[in-house]
Amino acid sequence: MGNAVKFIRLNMMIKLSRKESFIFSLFGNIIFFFLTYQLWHGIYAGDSGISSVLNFEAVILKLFLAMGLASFLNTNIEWFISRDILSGNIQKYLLIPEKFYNVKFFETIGTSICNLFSNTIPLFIFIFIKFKIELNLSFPLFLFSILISLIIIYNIDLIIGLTSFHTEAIWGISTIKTAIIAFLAGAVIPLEFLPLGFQNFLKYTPFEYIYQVPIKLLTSEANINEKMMMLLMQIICGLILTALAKIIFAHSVKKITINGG
Amino acid sequence: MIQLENVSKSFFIVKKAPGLGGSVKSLFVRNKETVEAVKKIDFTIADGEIVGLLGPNGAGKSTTIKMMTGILRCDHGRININGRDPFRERMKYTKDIGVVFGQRTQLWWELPVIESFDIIRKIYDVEMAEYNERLKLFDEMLGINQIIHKPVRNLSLGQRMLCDIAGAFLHNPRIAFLDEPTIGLDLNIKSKIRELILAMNKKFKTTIILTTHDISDIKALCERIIVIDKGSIIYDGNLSEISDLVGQNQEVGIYLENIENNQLLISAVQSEFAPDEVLDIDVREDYLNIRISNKITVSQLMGHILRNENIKDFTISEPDVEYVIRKVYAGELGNED
Repeated sequence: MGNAVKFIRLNMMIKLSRKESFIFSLFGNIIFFFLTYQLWHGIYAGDSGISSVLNFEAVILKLFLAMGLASFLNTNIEWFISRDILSGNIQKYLLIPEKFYNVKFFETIGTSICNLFSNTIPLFIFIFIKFKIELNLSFPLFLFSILISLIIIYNIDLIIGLTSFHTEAIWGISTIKTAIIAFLAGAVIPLEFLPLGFQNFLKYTPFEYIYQVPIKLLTSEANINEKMMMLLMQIICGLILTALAKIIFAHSVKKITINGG
Repeated sequence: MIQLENVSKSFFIVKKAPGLGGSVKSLFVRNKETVEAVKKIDFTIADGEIVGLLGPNGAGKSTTIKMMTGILRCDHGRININGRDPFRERMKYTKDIGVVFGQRTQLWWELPVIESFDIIRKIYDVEMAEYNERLKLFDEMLGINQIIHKPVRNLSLGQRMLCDIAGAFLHNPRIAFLDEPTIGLDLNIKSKIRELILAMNKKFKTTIILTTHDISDIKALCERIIVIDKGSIIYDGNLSEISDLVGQNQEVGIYLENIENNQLLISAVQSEFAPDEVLDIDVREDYLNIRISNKITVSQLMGHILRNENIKDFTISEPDVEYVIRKVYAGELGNED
């Protein structure tokens, strides 16, 4: 546990040492939220009949929650893993008596905590005040669910980063991942606007468990049993992806060649 | 104790045809070629030894070190270090080793050095008193206190290497693997690093495995060297006996009374003796250095020289380490497969 705190702290210090990137990220997100609000405001002002699916307030609430979660969960750890694999610097992680999987996870948490303060908390305070969200029993479930989301997205990122052992480049895969998660996890448009059959299909994919489960736990009218079931399914998804990522790592590390001598 | 038995390692490399056409073709057809980086090597290193791994670029030294550190898995053979398999038992094994790769840093690039040291202390369970004592020793020997509060990225190569070396010894490892630790460094920093390595070896009986292209490192630190060429060991023994690698050669230094006659003497020697008798002749500042094989004697050579020229003086010596290593690096020794 002590080492976990060390690695989390270390990565927070690294993130904070890149203060220009930190500040630009904050401003970039503010602009993104503003543009999203204006875009949907314009769509609803055109009155194209979409308010029968979801009203404007519900769309903004869902999108802002999803975008807030995305700003917390998107650590792009796959880029750093890929860079370390291709440059050979991965040896640094293999030469310390800590599991690579754990160290990278602690680093991800460090990055996410920085994201939390720079982006997510200010946005969530705004959302909670604007939409008058009550802090009832659902709130701790929501927080717990976010942690499971972090594990899910970390494992997806890790698997993509590890493909560098085989592909020597992940730009294409990573870009596709970002686009697919943003769209299929509901951070671009609320999933209610997708065809019903497709919405049902998504329930059997990990995308459902990244942003949608925490959002539903916070905002849906479901009873506590239904919410616990959602959480259980999310935990199962997290466990499956964890096992998969560890298997892929164990396989990949046997193929390792340290680039550059 | 380090034991390598019959250890081999191969890599696949993708061969691309040259030019844009080759690059486009490689999108569809990939020609893979197997490179045998290490071929059936065996050696044993006792606790507390300092051993130099020598060989030209691409000889297999770094691959051997990476297998010994547990980063790479050997394809064949067995590696047993302190009773552990480095690859399979990497987590436990790495507690006992310190590693420096001269071309990379083991420290966290963006952060002050002291933060990297602090996390090393934590993950290797170094007691605070021991940690402080070790930092004091490193400061006395390397003078690092002035630089450990700077981010690694702001350090010069020499400063960074001093900190990397200190980081590798911070947890008092039983074995230190140092892969080109003095590459690109000035004489002062090289000297500090060598002194620290010797001190660690003497005080804590740390086993040191060192690769370097700098012969002065080897002369200063190693009694035993292992020479690797084309993935195979071509010499494993005392540094002082490395001349055996080139046979019972001798070097004869000839100081002529009239230095302008150097070329005449070279012609005379070359016309009298075959190339496998007189191996080479170097024109040095004020003398000729003639290297002969064991097919002729020094007296035969001297007899011929004295019949042709008047000499001021002469010397006879064994071939030096640099000469032998230079021959290895030039591909003129070693296995031919």
